[in-house]
Amino acid sequence: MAAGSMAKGLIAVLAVLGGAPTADAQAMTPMRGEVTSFSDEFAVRVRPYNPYQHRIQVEVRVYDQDFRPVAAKISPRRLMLGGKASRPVLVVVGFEGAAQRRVRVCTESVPFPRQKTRIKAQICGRFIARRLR
Amino acid sequence: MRYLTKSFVAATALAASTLPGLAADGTVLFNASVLSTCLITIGTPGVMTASADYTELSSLEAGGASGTATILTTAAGYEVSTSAPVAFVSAPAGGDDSVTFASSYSASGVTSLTDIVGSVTSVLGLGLTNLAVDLTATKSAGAFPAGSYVAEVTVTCE
Repeated sequence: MAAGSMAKGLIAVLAVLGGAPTADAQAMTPMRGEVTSFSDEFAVRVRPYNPYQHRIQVEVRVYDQDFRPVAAKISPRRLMLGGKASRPVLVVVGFEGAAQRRVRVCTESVPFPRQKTRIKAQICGRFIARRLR
Repeated sequence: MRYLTKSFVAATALAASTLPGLAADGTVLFNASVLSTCLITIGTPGVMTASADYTELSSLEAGGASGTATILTTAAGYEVSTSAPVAFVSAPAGGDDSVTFASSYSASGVTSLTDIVGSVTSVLGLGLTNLAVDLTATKSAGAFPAGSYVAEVTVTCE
């Protein structure tokens, strides 16, 4: 009984979802958009923004309406943002034969290796692209 | 005559100096633009504790704590949801076997929500929302072995 209680205590202590609290924040613009393209691809330019003083690392990813990953050319895909800084990221997605495509372009925080914060921030913009033939 | 003119000029100058000034008003314009966006700030990490039979690790168990985040929106129409992980980021041997995860969240501030299933999206109010995130890991076979567990929940604003 005492051993069980000790083990439970051990798990309780060790199951902490992180250690010292650290603040991490991010934003992105634009969050909505409509694109018209004459080619097989369309492009969206987003600007991840770090509103705080410390630097953060973010990654840009593209998903479909059901949050399934979408193949896209993203440049740069992963970037370091200094305090109060934003950088443009170019996202190019193919229509893959469709006349219209709805995608989410998401900026996701990348925890530093020793950072213990285990809530991950994801900010997604919704974009509709239409192809003119 | 010259004396009269001199006196007149002197009187006029005196009058001008004692009358209230004829001020010209101008307007200086200030412009500002606030972009429509959503800003997530991660707060404190959560703490999961074991259930009595060690088949569950949860921030909702006694001694557990929710993870926190704040979300600032500058326009209406944004939504929040959370995604539970499919596996622990790190766990002792066997700790990840037969485990399913479920997240939930509650909100206060400009958004009021209680115990919403993580995958359900909720409309955010305009302004600052305080979010409390909970995570439960359930082991369908056996018990969680002793060791250190780390799991990650994603908070999405879109």
